[in-house]
Amino acid sequence: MSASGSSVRIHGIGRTFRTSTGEHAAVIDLDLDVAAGSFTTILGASGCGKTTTLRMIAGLERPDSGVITLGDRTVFSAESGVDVPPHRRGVGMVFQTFAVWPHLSVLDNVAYPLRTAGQGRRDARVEAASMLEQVGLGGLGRRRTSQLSGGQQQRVAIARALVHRPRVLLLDEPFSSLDGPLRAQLGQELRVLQRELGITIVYVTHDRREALLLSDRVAVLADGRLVQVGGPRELYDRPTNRLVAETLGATNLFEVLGPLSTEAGGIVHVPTRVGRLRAVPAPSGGPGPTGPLLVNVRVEAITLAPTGSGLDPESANVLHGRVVRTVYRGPNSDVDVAVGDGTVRVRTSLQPEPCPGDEVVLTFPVERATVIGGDPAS
Amino acid sequence: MRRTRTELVLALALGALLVYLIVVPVSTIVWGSLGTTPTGIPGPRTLAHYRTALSAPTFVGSIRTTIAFAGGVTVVATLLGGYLAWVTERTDAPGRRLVYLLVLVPIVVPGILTTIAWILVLHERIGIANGLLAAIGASRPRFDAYTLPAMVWVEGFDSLTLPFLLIAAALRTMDPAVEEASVLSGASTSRTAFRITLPLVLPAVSAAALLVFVRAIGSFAVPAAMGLPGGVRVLATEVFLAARRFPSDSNLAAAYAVLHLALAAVVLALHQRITRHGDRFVTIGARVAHNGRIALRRTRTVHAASALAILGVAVVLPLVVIVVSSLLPRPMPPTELDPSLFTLRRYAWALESVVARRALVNNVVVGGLASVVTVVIAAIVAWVSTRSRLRWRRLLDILATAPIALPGTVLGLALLWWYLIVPLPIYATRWLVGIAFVTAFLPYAVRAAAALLGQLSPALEEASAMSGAGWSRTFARIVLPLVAPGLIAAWLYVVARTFTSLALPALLAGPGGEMLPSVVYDLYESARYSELNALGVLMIGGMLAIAGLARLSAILADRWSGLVHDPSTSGERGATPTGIARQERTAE
Repeated sequence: MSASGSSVRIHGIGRTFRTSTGEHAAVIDLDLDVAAGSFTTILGASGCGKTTTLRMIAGLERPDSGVITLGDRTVFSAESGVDVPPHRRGVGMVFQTFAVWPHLSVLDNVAYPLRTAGQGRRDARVEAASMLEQVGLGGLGRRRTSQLSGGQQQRVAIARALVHRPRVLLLDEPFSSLDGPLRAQLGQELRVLQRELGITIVYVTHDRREALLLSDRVAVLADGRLVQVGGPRELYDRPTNRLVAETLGATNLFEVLGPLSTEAGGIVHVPTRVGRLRAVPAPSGGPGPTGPLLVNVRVEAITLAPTGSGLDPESANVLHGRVVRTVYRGPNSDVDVAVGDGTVRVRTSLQPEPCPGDEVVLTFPVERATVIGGDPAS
Repeated sequence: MRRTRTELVLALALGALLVYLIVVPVSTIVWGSLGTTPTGIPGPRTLAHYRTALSAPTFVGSIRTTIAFAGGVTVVATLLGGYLAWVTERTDAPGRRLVYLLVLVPIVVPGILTTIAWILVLHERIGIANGLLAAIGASRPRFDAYTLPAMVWVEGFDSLTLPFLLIAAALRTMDPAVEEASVLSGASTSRTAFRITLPLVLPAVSAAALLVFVRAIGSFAVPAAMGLPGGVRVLATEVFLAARRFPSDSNLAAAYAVLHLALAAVVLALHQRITRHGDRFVTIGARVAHNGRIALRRTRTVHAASALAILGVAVVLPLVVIVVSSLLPRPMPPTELDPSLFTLRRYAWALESVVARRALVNNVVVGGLASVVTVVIAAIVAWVSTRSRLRWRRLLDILATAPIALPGTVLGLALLWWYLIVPLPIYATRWLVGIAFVTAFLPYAVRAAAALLGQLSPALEEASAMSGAGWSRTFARIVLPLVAPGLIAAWLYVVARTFTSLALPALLAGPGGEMLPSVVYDLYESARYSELNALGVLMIGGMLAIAGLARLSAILADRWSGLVHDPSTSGERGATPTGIARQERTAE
C-alpha cells in the first residue's frame, strides 16, 4: 500500500449557523496548514468549532467563506464557487459514533468503498480482508458488526476509512466513547498505521493527553478561532496565552504586578504575588502576548523540598512557603503552598507527601517559567 | 396491598368493558357464521356457509381483488410516503415545512370526498382528464374511474400519510454518520440512499407497508364509490352488500365478514412479528450536533419539485376539484369552465338542508361523545398497562389495540347482529354508530395515551403517593393534568376520525341517524356532485379548524412536558410535526 498523504490548507474559512435563537459563528476566519503526511490534532473544548472545521474539510459542511485545498487541488472556494462533493474529495473519515453499517458484515463494511469505486466483489473482499488484518481484526470479517465490541467496531470504521487509500484521514473524536486503556492503545495503533501508510491525519479531540501523545502538530481552537498551533512540546512548554496553557495541562498562572526588567541572557525579572520571579520572556516576533501578562509555571516543573535542603540559587527560582492543602492523586500528589500573597500548586512524588502547615522550599528553573498573555487572541 | 386491589378492580372492570366492546361483537359474528337460523334463534351449527362462500366465484374473486387492491395501494403509498419521508428528513431539499403540512391534510379530509373528487377527474364520460385529452384531440377517453387501477391510484395517494410518518420517524432516529461514512467512502447520494439508508430503515418500511395493507383491506370509501359502479368488488363491499341484503342470508354474510376479518388479522399478526424485531437496525446517533442532512446540491430543486408534485396530485388537486365543483351548477369539462357560472347556491342548500344539519348534529353529538369515552377508556387502559404491577396487564393493551384489524364493515355487521339480540333500544339509531366509533378508534387513542404516559416519569406519581395521596387522587390531580393537553390532541384526532368515517354510519345508522360522510355518499349515489362538494367544503373547513385546535393543544403539551419530561427523550431534528401527526404516529 503506497498511499501518500497530501497537505491540507485552510484559508479564511468561516461558518455561521442560524438557530432559533439567532446566529452562532461556529468557525471564524480560520487559517490552518497541515503538512503532507503529518498527524495534526485540532484540540478544543466542545463547541469550539473543531468538529465543524473537520466536517468542512470532508465536505459535509459548507463554509460561508474561504478556501480549502487538499494537496494541489482546491476542493472548496467560496469566491470561485468550487465545491467538490464529499465523495469526490478522496478523504476518509472516522466518526465518533463509529457509524458501522449494521446490515452489512464486517468484511462488507470495509469492502463497501472499493465496491463503490467499481471494484469486483472478490477483489474488494480480498483487499478488505488484508485491511482488516492491518487493523488487527483478521478473521473477524464474517461477523455481524453487532457482535463486535466498541473498540472492534472502531477498528472496522478505521479500516473502512483507509481501504480506498484516501490521501487524508479525518477522525472526529474517534475514541471518546471507549474506555481509557483501550483509547490509548487504539491511539498508538493509529499512529503506527499512519507512519506505515504515510497518510495525512487530521484528528479532532477535546482530550489533551491524546493530542500530546499522538500528534506531530496541535492546533488549539477556542470560540471558532485558532489560538495557537505548534508541536506538542512547544505548545506544552511555551504556550503564548492563558487558554493554551490551561488547555494542555495543570499549571500555575501568576499575574504580573509591575514592569518587567531584563537582565543579561534575555531573562526577565517579574514581580508577582508570590515574589519576584525570573522568567523567559514571550517569544519575540509575531504580535506578542495580549491582555494582562502572566507567568506560567507547570505544576510538575516545581521541585518541592523541606526547608533547609541544599539549593542552587543562581539558576533557579526559589520560593519559601507553608503547605495549605494536599490532594493525593495516586502516583503523585498536588500540594498547594502559600507563598507571599499567593498560592503555588506543585505536583510532587515526594513520599510521604508534606502535611498542611509544613514549611517547604519550592524551586524551578528559569526556562520553566514563561511570560504569556492573558487573552486567547494571539 | 391497597394499591394492588385498586388496580385489580380497575383492570377487571376495564377488561369486562373491552370484552364487551370488542370480543362480544366478533364472537357474535363468528357464532352467526356457523349458524343455520336467523340471529338470536338457537339452532345447529355448521360450516356450510364457509363452503358456500368459498365456492362462490364472485366471492373468491373479491378476495383476489382485495389482495390486488391492497397490494397495489401498499406499493403506491409506501413508495410515495417513503420517498417524501426521505426528502424531508434526510436531505436539504427546500420546502420541507410545506411538505409536512400538506402530507397531513388527508387525515382531516373525509376519504369519500377525495374519492368523489377523483371520480370527477377520472370519470370516463364527465371526467376532467378525459375532457382535457379530448380538447387536445384524443379520439377516445383514456381514463375510467370505475376500475381497479384507478382505485389503487386514489387509495394509494390518499394513504401516503401513514407510511410517511412511520418512515420519517425511523429516519429521524438514525445516526446521520452512517450516511456520511458512505458518502466519504465515495458513494453518491443515490447509492447511499439505496445501499445504506434503505436497508437500515427496511424494518420500519415493511412495518409501515403491512399497516397500509391492513388498512386497505378494510378500506370502504374507494371500493364503495368507485368499485361498486364498475363491478370491482372487494371484501369490504361484499360484506356491505351482504349486510344490506340482511337478513335474507345473514349467516352467509357473517361468514363473509369472518373471512374478511381473518385476512386483515393475518396481515396484522405479520406486522406484529416484524415490529417485535424491528429495532434491530435502528442506530441511534449519540449527541448529534449536526443536522446531518445529505446535501443534494444540483438535484435539490428536482427532489423538492417532485415531492411537492406528489403532494400536489395527492392533496391539492382533489381539494381544488372539490372547491371548484362546489361552485358550479353541474359538473362540466375544464374547457367549458367559466367563472361567470360560479354560484354559491349549493352552499345555501348545504346550510339549509335538513338532512345535512341533522347529520352535522349527529356527528358533533355522537362523534364528540364517543371520542370522549374512547379517550377516557384509552387513558385508563394505558395507565393500567404501563403502570400497574398486575401480571396480565399487557393483555388489556393488546385487546384494546386489536380492532386495528377490524374492518369497518365487519364491525358494523357484528354490531347490527348483537343489538338485534340484546334488548337495548339503540338498534338502527345514531348511538349504535357511537358504540362502533369507540371500538374502532380505541386502538389509536390507546397508543397515543401509552406514548404520553411513557414519557411521564413514574417518580411524579410515586412522589404523590409518598405525600399520602391514594390512587384516585394521584390519577386525578397528577397524571390527568400532566397528560391532559396530549389527551386533548388525541381526542381531537378521534373526533376527526368520526367525522371522516363512512363505513360505520353507512351500515349502522338508520333514517335520522345519518352522519356527514354518509350524507355525502347518498348525494353521490344520486349524482348531486355540486351539492355534495359544497357540503364537503364546509366539512373540510370545520376539520381544518379541528386540526388547528389539535396543533394548539400539541404545542401546549410540548411546552408543558418540557417542565416534567426528561429533555433527552424529546430531542427532535428537522420539521416539527403537528399534534395530529404525533397522534397518528404514536397511534400506529
